Amino acid sequence: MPILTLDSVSLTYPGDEQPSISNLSLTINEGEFIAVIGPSGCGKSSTIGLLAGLTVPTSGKLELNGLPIQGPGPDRAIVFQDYSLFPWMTALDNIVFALQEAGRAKGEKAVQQAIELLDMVGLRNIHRKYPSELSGGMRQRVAIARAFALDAPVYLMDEPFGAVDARNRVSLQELLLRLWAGGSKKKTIFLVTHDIDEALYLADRVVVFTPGPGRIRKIVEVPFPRARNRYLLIQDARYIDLRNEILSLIQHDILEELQAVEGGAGI
Amino acid sequence: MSQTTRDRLLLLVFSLLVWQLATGWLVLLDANLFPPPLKVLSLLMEDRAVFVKSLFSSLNLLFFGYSLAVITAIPLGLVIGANRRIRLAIEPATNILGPIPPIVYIPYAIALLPTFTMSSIFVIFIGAFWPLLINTISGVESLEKGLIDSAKSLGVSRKSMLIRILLPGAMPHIISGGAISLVLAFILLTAAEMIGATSGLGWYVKYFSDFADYPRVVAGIIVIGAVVLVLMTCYRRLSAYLLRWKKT
Repeated sequence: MPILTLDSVSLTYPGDEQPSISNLSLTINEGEFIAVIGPSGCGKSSTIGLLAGLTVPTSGKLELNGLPIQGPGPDRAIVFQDYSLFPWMTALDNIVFALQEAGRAKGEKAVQQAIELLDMVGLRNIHRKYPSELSGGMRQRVAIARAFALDAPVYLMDEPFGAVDARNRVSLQELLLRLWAGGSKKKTIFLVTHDIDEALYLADRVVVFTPGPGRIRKIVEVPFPRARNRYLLIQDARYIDLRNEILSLIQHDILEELQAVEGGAGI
Repeated sequence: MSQTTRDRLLLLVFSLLVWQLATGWLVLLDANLFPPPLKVLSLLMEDRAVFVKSLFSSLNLLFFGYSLAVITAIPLGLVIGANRRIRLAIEPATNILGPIPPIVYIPYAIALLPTFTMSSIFVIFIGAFWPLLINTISGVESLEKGLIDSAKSLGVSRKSMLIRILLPGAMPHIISGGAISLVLAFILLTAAEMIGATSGLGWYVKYFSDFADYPRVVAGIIVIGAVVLVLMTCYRRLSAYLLRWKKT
């Protein structure tokens, strides 16, 4: 059952000549894990902004459960690479605030729920710490806990692990899969990343974007059953083929661009 | 005792000794214009009742004028900062009214308002208002767009947006504006008291200078310096508490 639909969506920012997104159509099913990949400037973050309701498309339609998206709301939880958490609230207060504002819980109940969530993501002793006192990995852990505190049907994630080191990245990916699969409700995830391995490990489908203007180049089905094993996966021939395919799709544009500039010298 | 503290104490004792030597013991300077420190100290003790009364009178004006500025400028600044249209509309007004030195309002305020108390509170308010307003607006403007988006995506209410997001987000700017406001408020307070008051620290200095009683003038100046020092120390403490979430 489709939950999110983008129908010939185009977006041109005021003052820009070229559109950031051109004629984008995509249907995302309920419970699906979608990864979006592409070089910078291909409109993947702009798409998050549109789905979040923070920006309005120049033309085309965006729908959530068959209803047009008219603004931000707690039915779509968002995690950014940075700036998700409010620096003036402690880790605990960030989650309590989100629970209260989204109308999920109030007062003592919200505090209790927030503590449980922090425990669940493995952050037991940092309740009273401010984001500036936490490492980048811990901050994103809190941000993800906060997003899932909303118990929203849709999760929009804009390179949430982009600024996290490799070791923390792996454990955050595992956490994300755990939260996605757990719980009673089906959750749909729209994850923007620039890491092909991350996309292939996590997603059901990988949407490859190309820039100038941003559009979908190809949608790649990821055939591996869950639960996936990271170490077996990278040895699988189909995995290597998919990886190379996506890599060449992304690089194609960069090569074309370079050839136009340098006459193809040395490439 | 740390080396710095020791250096500072030594410097203080040395300066007081030179001052006492030059004025009190060797009498190199006019004794009325340059009173020796021991004389000033005895005056501080002698007039302590007057000083306490003046202090309360001054702090009363300062408190009302400054508080009035805080409770109007900060909410107004948050609303203006959050609303581009209002911001652009009032920009010429802030550009014209903001830079007027508030001291020039004193004679007008005295003519306009029925009591001296009201006119000084008004002048202190005006002086403290602009730096606070302008800094609150710029604090909201300079807030990371990502944080606002993050708040919007949580579906925060308008009230929470102002109180839980914009206010703390703009706080670093508000704190620096508030410090400027406090200094300006104190300058205006003492200026107003020198012009029209019958009590207060500014009045004390002006009153005794009319009688050419310069030892008391010097004593008054020292008290005013001490009061400003205490006020600014309290302000720094408050700022450190309000901005405890910032990386130090």
